Amino acid sequence: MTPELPSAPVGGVARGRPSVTDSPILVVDDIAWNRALIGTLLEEAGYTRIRYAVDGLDALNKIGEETPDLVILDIMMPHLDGFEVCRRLRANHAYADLPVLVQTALSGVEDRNRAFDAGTTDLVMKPLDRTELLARVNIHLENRALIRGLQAYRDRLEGELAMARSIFDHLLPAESALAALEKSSGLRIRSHMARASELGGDVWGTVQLGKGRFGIYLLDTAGRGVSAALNVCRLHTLVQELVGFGHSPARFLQELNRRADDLLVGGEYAAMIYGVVSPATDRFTYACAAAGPPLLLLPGADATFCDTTGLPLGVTADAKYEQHTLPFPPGAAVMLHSNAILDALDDRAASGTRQSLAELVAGPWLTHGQQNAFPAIVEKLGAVVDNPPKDDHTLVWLARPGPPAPDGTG
Amino acid sequence: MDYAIDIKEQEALVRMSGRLTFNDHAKLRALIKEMSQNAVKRQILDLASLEFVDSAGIGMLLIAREELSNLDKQFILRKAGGQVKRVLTVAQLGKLITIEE
Repeated sequence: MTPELPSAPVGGVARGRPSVTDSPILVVDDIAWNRALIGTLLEEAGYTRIRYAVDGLDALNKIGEETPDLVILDIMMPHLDGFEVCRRLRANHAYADLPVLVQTALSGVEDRNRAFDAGTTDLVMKPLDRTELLARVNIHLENRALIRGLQAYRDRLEGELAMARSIFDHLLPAESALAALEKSSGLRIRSHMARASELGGDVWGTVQLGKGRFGIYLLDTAGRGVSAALNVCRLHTLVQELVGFGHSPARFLQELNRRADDLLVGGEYAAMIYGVVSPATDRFTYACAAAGPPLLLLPGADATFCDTTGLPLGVTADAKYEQHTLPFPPGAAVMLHSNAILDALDDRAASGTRQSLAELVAGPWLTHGQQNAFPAIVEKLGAVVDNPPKDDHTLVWLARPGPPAPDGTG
Repeated sequence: MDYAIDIKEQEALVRMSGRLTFNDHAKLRALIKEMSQNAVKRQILDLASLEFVDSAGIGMLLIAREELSNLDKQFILRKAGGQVKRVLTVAQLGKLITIEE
């Protein structure tokens, strides 16, 4: 015996398809008999929210009162014809996607094209055929419901990304903390951050070490979106726990890596630079885990890339890091940058506008002097990379005020 | 990113081209599966035509390394240039994966 298949109601609920029988529909026709015919067909099929308009002007008024999910529109009508109704709806942003099903006896290709030019979504032929009408009504209502569902999902994701972004921003140093640090160390600390729209994984911060010394880090987790955001939060927590190792950059990264290795799995990793600023000894000591090497700017000199390499955090538990020391006298500056910035500049090389970061930084440094160089560097960078960037772009600027340069620009 | 696999007697040679980024996750997953399942031991990624790799791309290369090493297969990166070479160098990936010129 063959079990009888339950018959799905027309326009009703099939698996994974939205129910559309309670969608509001507006039937527009100047002939009462036609309105009644369409209304009856729709009611028989289970549609419950049908309204009627008697001409084009009436249609626009009714749509203004309550936006339907579908308009079934006649073309030849007094006052305002169907073409004009379509045009006016499409000209209004609020109704740009409203499905409009035009009933037409227009048989010529030209007339049909005219209807589509005016913004018709679809046509249904007069005299009306029940099956055709209901099939077209159903498909346009279903499309609208599915698009609405997608839009709601997208809005939710965007909302969650915005929330993740604000959590990120709370991980960054507070202005008051930076001001206190500038006072105790005598340094000028500036930063620039351009977030990727999907969220990269950059965060930077400082570690108070006392006696004018402090640690500074720039952390860049691989990937984007939610997984990068979660890993930033986890690593940021680890960094707070390791303040005790803050005086020794290599040790700091080694410990952080050992702990991160348990947290980060399968292709997840992070790049990081950690450095210690010692104004008393005029030094900047740092270590890099796959991070962009710092740029050193000495008074009146070009920018120097401090080529440094190191294994990323979270890939192998026993990674060892090298420690490097740069001279950091009064009048000098050190700039940290996330890898994505070099990638973006490299990426432009393909289109023939290679401009290495060192050149980009050296210009403003030499012409604007230490006080004003950083905003000029940020502006210059902004002019050559995408905005928003594909991945987070972060610059951290540390400058030691010093005597003016010999040519008086400092 | 696009790739073509050439399986020889002793090794599989994968020529990668284009840009290896966050968006290639599914494609690289498929590639790792192919490299895991073929019969040869040496899996070589020829990167000569790869123009760009981002951090997510490096992450996927690390996944490939892990999965192939679990299967006792060799994973070799070859002929990286430009930005790709710079990124591999900065991250010292040569300590984890065999990198050939």
